[in-house]
Amino acid sequence: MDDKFISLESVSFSYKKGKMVFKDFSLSLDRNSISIILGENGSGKTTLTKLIMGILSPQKGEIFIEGKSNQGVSLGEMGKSIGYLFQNPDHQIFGSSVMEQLTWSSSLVSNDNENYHEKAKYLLKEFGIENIKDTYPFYLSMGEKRILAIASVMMRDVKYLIFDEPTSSLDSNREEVLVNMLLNLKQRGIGALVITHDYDFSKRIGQRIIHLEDGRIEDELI
Amino acid sequence: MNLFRRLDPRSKIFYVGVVSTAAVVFDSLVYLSILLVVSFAVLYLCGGSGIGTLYRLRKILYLLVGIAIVQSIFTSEGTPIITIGSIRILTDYGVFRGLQFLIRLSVIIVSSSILLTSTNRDLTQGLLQLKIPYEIVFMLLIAGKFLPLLRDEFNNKVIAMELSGVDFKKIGFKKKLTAYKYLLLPVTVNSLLKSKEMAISMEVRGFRAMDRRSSYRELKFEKIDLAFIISSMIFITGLFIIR
Repeated sequence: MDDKFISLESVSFSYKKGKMVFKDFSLSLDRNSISIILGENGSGKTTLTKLIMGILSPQKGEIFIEGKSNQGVSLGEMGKSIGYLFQNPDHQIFGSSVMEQLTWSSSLVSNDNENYHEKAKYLLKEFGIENIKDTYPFYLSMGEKRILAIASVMMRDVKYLIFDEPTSSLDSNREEVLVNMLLNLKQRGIGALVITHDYDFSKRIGQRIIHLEDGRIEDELI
Repeated sequence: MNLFRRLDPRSKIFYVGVVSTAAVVFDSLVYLSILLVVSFAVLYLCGGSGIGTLYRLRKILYLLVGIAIVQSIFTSEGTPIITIGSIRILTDYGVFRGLQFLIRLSVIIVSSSILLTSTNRDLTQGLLQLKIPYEIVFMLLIAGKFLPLLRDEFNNKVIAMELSGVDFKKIGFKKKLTAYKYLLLPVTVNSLLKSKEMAISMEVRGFRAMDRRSSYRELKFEKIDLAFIISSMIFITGLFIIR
């Protein structure tokens, strides 16, 4: 099996009335490794993840997921194979309690009621949010919302994860849980692309650290 | 052309009031069409785009055209154009009523779009100088800024929901309704929380700290405004007289 899970080939993208974010940008990401993208604000990190997920479409070039172009693939289909964490956790909070937040999407797409409830209970315990399982998510702190959003992504059996700044506003205990979970998933062949400003965190989990600047790879550590 | 772009927002508000009132009062398709053409022309002169406005409102326009068609079908008076047996499907009067509704609403939408050619700040100042209470003006200003944010948030939520593996095209009707429930709840709650935060932020910045609020920048009524208002009056009065 080809090791490449995601590949971008000569991708060019600019926002409407904006400057060119990517010009002939190419990148390949392996399926069972954790890649980190570092870069200053406005360097194109989040845009890159949105292009991969198909939220944005490139003006030129193509993006392949497991060898197939992501053009014309619905976001719903994409979400089934790649778990995506938004920079703003509020975007992906839908439930009226922490527990419901973990189970709502499974209740819509899965028939295995017992299994996903068990998984939700496991994640609540693992991330240390069992005590707030009945709390309304909108009253949680930013750190708690982020960990809840991460746990929601982990609920699904995906092949790859894309996390946009997962550690911002997380305390050290929860960051530790996240590190262990990502490394554990990697052992099981589930890779990840993580965008972060936290260099220490990158060094702990990343096999490949890419430094992005003005839409191009400035530096790369493997 | 530049003169029109310098128009005071108060003159524009006056014009919108006069033209919209005339659109409601006039029944004739000819006069309503004249109003529509003039509204497009004035919007263009003020720097707006009539086509752009209609494009932005295309989803509502489909609805309006739909309503106009329904109105045409359900009006039984007049000479039948299409009949099935003894049932009148479409009459000439029905078509007239449908077109009347469509042009009337278009006049109101296009003429009101002239207000969008002023900045929010100018419009607020114009309303304030028309002695409208500051609280009400501020509510309008916030609503104008808040709606695009609400739309963006809703779009982000839909994207996030789809990326959670929910494919709207593939799930059944019952599950689709449940998905919309999950969608509407956070959007509503977030809006309420945002407005609460905004209220707190306004309070700490001293909103309504004094009875009267003064402005550094005041709008001045110029000759072009007077000429615009008088021309609007003459035009509408002329149409009233000759109709």
